[in-house]
Amino acid sequence: MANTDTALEHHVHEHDHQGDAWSGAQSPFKVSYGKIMMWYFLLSDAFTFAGFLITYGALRFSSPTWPVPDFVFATDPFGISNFFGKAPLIFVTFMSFLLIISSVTMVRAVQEGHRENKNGVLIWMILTIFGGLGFLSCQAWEWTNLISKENMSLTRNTFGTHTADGYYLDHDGKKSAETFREGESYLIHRHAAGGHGAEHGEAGHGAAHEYKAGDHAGYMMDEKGFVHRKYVYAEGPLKGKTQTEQFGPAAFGALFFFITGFHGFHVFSGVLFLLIIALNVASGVYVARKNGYEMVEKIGLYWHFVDLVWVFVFLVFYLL
Amino acid sequence: MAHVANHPMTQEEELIEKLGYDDHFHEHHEGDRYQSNFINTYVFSMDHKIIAKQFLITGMFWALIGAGMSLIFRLQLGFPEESMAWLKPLLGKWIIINAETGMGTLSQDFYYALVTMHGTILVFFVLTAGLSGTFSNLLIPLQLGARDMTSPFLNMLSYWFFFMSGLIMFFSLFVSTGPFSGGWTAYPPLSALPQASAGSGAGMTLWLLSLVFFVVSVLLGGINYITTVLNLRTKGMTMWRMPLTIWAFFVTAIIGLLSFPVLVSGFLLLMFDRGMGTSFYLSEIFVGGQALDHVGGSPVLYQHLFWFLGHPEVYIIILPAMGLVSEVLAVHARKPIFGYKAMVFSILAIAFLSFIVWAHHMFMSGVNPFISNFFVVFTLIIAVPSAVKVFNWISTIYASNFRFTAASMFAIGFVSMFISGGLTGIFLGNSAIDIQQHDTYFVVAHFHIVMGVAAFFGMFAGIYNWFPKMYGRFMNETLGKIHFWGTMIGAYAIFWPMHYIGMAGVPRRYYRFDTFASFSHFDDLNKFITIAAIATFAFQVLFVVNFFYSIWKGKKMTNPNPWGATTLEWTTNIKPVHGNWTGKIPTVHRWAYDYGKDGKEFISQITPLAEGEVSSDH
Amino acid sequence: MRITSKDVLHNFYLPHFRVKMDAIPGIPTYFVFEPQKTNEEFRQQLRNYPEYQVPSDPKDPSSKPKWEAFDYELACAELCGNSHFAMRKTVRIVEMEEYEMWAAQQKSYYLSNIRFKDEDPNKEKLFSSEIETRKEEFIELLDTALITAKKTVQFSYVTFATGSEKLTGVSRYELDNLVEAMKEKKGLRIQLAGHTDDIGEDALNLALSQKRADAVMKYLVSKGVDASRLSAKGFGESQPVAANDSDDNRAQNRRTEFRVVGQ
Repeated sequence: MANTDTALEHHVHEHDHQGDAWSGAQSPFKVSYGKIMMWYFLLSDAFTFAGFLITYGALRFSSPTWPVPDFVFATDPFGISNFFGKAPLIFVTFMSFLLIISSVTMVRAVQEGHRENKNGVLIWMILTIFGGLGFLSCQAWEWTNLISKENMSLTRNTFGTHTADGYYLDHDGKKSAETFREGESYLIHRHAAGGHGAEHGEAGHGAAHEYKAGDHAGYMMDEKGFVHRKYVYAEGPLKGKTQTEQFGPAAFGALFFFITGFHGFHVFSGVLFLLIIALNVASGVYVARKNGYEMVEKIGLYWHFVDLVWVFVFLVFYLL
Repeated sequence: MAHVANHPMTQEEELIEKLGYDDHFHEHHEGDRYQSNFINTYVFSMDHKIIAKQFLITGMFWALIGAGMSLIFRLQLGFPEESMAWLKPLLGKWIIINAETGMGTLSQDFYYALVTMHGTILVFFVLTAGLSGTFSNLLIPLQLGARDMTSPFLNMLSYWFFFMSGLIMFFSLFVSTGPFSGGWTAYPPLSALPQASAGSGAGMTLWLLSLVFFVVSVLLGGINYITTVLNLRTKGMTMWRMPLTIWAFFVTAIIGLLSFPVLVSGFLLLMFDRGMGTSFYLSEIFVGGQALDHVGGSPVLYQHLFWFLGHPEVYIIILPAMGLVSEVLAVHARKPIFGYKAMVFSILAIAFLSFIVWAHHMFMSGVNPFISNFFVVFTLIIAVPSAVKVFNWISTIYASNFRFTAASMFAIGFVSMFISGGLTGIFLGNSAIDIQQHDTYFVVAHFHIVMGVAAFFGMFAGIYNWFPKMYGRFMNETLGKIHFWGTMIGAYAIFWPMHYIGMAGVPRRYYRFDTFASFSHFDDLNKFITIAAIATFAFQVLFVVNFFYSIWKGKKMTNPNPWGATTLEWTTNIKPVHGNWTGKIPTVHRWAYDYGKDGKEFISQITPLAEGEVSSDH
Repeated sequence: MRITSKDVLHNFYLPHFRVKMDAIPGIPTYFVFEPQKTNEEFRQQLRNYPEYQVPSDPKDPSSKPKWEAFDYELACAELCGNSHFAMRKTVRIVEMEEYEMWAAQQKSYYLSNIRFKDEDPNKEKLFSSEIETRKEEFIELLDTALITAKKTVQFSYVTFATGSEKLTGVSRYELDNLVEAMKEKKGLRIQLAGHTDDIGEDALNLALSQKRADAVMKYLVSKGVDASRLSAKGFGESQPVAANDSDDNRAQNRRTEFRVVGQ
């Protein structure tokens, strides 16, 4: 009780002298201008990302099909997924985990800043930088894999999707044992690039056969060397008709590289700023300025924002 | 300097005692280290007052270029049969001379480039940067009792990004394929396909680059304005004691901060479509009979992203003008502004509504008519806060002892323009009537009056009123009044007839009308408009002459508060120093509109409440 | 009114009817409107105004008066490039009966622009209505030929792949008509004749025309026509029906026909 009284008294006392928080000569939110600026910058940046995600939604829902993320992002380096029994999104989960953990280390850095513990700030910031770099490396691997092995580009999406159940034809145009379900995605391979199908669970396709350019009974190889396999739908309006695999909606590749690239650019700049600020921390600039490591707090805000944006990017590209 | 670093705390306390509260005094009062020579006093200045002047003069430069362009295309529209060979020295290859007759005609490509550049320059460079950049910078710190912006450095960057943006746009006027020519809205596919038209190549690339720089400038400026208003109000300056100018600038900055990033998203996607072969906005397009690779995109998507900025943008333009006009009207009516709180809430309401009406620009873009209904309703609701403001202005000057100066006359002119243009807005906001009026001269007349001319009137009111604050001299009143009457009559003479042409269905952005029997019988009106435009332009030249003459030769200011205003900017020296107040920054005791109270003509905000006086605060 | 665009944004604008709608590449749009006055009715109405009595072309006093030259117009109301201002078309509003008469004479876009072109997915086959019309056409040709002196019928639709004797897919329909006629008129005996134009060596052309005539005969036999009733002869370029001086004429000379030699 006594404590409460004191607090109340203190408040009244302050009110008499300074008026309420909005009466001028002070920050109404008890926040420095720098942090307000960061908040407003993040607000405006959120609108930029919102613009992109709305574009994503508009294009995705105007496309007749969309690749299944579980299939597209099933790949991972070093056969990690084997340890988890074919978990499709394991790699991107790891990536996201890294980024989220780096947010936690950032919180610790800010906390150490409040305690004016220079070494603490430094250690936790360095860990955050490693988190960011780890995320960027993972993204680099994912991009490399998509671009060089799976031949995705801004204008070409090698992942198509079936619109009905059916079965594949073998190289000679005969019915094969390989079947597919409605809504399953497939990857169109480039013959010159060698068989990469195994990783996408397409046993029986690829390496052994010598593909030739042109239209054949069981497949069509276009002038760029992509092998479009032929298949037959077992139901729906196209039942019984032989179909050729088509590239998926190009917007998928364009949006993926554009949005994750824009986010990656944010992470990259974040890492740069973290690095600069970590150097400043080490050199003791903030101790001299006596502003309680405010710079660390500001970059912390930015870092959490980038993390938050990733949650949305992750949601739309990998989960939906 | 050195001892500051050694004993920061004591020095700080000492300065607070001496100068009053300041969030970052150490950046300003160390013997003016930012103003040690010409370059960092006048060029790379961090003083908000100098930056304001930089914005103003750059804006005036662009206004002259933009208006000059409109004269050239008005000549084409008013006098299509006359030779333009005399413009050859200025426009070079864009004037095509017929070898036999010697008749010079304006190139079609360049006509569209002129139309596009006129829009871009006036909307962005003049009425956004030139208006809001100038007066937000000048008045926010001065009227709030701050030494400067929260971050003078970002403030300086803001100007120089604007300058760079202007420079790039200026270069684009000289590329061999001409500047961008697809309209200021830059709808794809015309803007997305470099092969679509002459201006869609290098001209468009520079246009996009320029505008991205511009957005950076707006964001840097906006973040500064917001934080300054929040954090740097002087002691006693509550939000409800702020002059309406500050409210307007504050809300404008917030609108800009939320809408411009979406434009950047749209532009970045457009850049990818142009340069990287993506199809965000392109689908099923044939060039020369050949189908392009682009599939799956939607040109309408760009329109959504663009107008999500584009509509708030018109409020970014008009709100600062409204703020300036409110202030000028109250000062010269010698009466408190009528309905101060209603004014603030209307600004907030307009700002909010401005974000949910963007699709009223797209009624004819193939959007679902059912969705249009929502946008019609919200659009028409904007008329309510707008009308509240208009009635309050009228009530402010009603039965007042109005002081007719150039500034106050322009403020009244603003109200007139805003009413005339606003009424036609109610027509256009209706999706059924818009079927007829969309993209006709009716639209041209509407937005020129309501946001073009009106915003200019607000800007002129502001310049005439605060010129003494900027330069310590007055502008010539007689010339100012001539300027007012010329502009007022001239602007109506230009845009009033356009309503008729528009209602007759004549589409905008036509190079010539004689290809259509339906559009070709307005020659006389078109001639009249062109002549009115030239005359009005002449009055603006008069203004520019007056402006620069007065900077050096105008009547000197002797009274630090010549208009008898209550606000803080008039409590400084006649020529405010860097840091604005030589001594302590003032403390505020009352709201900004104590005019005619208790028998006194005006009571400055720094005057403490008298014994037994009832505060008129809200 | 259905609207689409193939290059950039346009706006389909009918100023007299106060309607407009954007034309967007990739996204078809539409509007519905009901005109009240035909061109002719509106012209008669304009006739009452003195300003429409003047010549439509001010430089030519003998030109039609303005009211008579009046047309409803179609304009573009969305900036679409440098000739935006000149995208003029005229619109004719007519009575319903006149429209129906006109519509009855029109071929669909598919039939007039796509049919039998490379992009036609059905170019190798005929629709039943086409089979009907062509059959009637053929019977009439044959009946006419039987009462003339030359007794020769030229196949209108029998074509071969360029430089070879391989019959194209659509050729069989006309040959089927002939098969039917042969089965009906038991006494009919014919000589099939192949002709080419003058391009290429004479000997080669002769051989090709013989092969083509043989190919037709082979087809007829495969359909059950007794080979004794048929003979085939190639004439090469020896019997042109037109001078070999233009592409059109050469096309006429490349033909397959048959002559009735006994009935």
